[in-house]
Amino acid sequence: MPHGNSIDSDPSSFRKYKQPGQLISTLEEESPNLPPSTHAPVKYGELVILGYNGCLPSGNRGRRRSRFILYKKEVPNGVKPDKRYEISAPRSAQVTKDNEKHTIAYTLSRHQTFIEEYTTDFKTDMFQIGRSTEPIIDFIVMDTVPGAKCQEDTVISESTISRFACRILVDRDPPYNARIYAAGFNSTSNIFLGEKACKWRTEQGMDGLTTNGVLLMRPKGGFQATSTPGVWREVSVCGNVYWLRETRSSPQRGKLVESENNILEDGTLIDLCGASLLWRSASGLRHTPTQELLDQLRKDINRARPQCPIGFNTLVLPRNRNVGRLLSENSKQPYAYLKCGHVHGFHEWNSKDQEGKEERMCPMCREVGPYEPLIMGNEASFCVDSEPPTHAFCPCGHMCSDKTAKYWSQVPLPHGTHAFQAACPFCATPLCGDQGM
Amino acid sequence: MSTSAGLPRRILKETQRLMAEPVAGISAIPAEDNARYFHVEITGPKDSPFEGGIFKLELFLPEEYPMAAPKVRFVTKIYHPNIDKLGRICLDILKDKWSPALQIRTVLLSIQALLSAPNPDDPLANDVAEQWKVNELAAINKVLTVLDMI
Repeated sequence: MPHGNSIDSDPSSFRKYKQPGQLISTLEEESPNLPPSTHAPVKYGELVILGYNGCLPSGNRGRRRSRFILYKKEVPNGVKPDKRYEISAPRSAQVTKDNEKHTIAYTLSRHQTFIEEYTTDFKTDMFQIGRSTEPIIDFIVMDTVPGAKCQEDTVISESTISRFACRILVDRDPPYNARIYAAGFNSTSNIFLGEKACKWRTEQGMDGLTTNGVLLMRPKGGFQATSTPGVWREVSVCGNVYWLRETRSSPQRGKLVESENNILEDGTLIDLCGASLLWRSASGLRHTPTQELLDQLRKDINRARPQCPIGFNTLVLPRNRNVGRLLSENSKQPYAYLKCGHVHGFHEWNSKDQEGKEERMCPMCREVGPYEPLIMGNEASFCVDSEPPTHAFCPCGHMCSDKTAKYWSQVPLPHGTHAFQAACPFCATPLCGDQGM
Repeated sequence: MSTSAGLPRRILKETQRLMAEPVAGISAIPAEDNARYFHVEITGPKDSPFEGGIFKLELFLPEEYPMAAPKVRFVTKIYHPNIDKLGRICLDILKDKWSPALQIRTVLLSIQALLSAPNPDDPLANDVAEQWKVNELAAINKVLTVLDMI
């Protein structure tokens, strides 16, 4: 029997498609995050929030964006530990009031506070990340809402991300090592660890964890087609690496991992509890496809003029989701049966029996499964190679290369207080299917 | 085709392809006055009791096609356990196993296959099926009689 669109059906959380499908709309306009200086800026790397397909639903503007590029600062703004001392509570208020001086205050008791003073470090640049919109935050990160399609979808009542979640210090000289630390300095240049915070004495002084913590995961083999996920760790306020706590905000810290450090490597994931960030180093990004290349790969698929096996109409894989055009028989939007992987145009065969259900029977093979529009995965930084987008994630239908799909389907992302789940990097929807973690 | 106005793209394309790349042993030609009505001829498959015969069928694409199956009927009289005296065909894909991914071409290929391999265990013509099971040789002789070949 001649089959129009067939597929390799491997039982997993993503599927291969031989024929998906022209440009419907272009990416939303975004204002680039520009380097501080125009002549030969040094790019350290970039942070990309998982769950966005190249842009926030409200667009990428200023410090609120899906992707943040870290450029060398014109004037170094890094800080390094200086003096450490214990003082009585009333005096600590005085010390931390000094905006010029960066301090970390560990409250020992109502009367006693341990202070670690920081001083300017001309060898590093500091970048701060958090939910706060105060100027001290370089990159504002809000909670990711899985599958959010518009700005209204992204509004949540309670955030779990800290206002001053973490800070990254990058060496101003090659190889531009970037180190991450839990907690960021607030607008008065302080970090407070309250009486109840998880904190402890160290050889040098004190260290601690933030309430929901900052977790790190370094993939094995960097960020490329052959990489595999590593183990999640927690980083402390002083940048030491620990095993995970029993639950996310447990008062008991995990065991120290002496053999590991807080240096971000290409592909390292940072979880802020509510949003996960992917670190891509400048050198790693040189091997990543450009947005233009991804669009070329998409056009190549469309140039083959894939056809719906039912309507015999030509299908066109769009760059972006276009809700208005989806539910029409004349639509060029390709749909896929996510269980078997067969691609069709939109049709309503067998939809009456299945009314109210999200699953439908595939006309090609009679496998019953979810039926979803296919959308191009546009965020190039999530791609582990530059191969054509032959696969799609279940259940959201975002398309990417075989290896990119495999990689993300294996990455466990922290979820809730002590669970992990794999998710589509382009929309954060948890993956389903046999291989869906 | 003068009557093609208003025909779904699917039917137009299928017809064009049937004409451009016909299947061996099968011809399907749309009626001049009705693009949904096809005059079909299937030649009896080689090494089957029906070899040497030419069978005329009519095929009609209902309004809902391809969401509903085409209606197909033998016009030529045939002695076959899955085809009755009125030429109606017992074939699952024409009934509950229809899928819009099937086409005129695939339907006719399935009918051709049914001639090669009659299925007396799922009969439409009970008397024929019985004969087929009891005495296949006699049944085949009957086929030939009906075909006017002996």
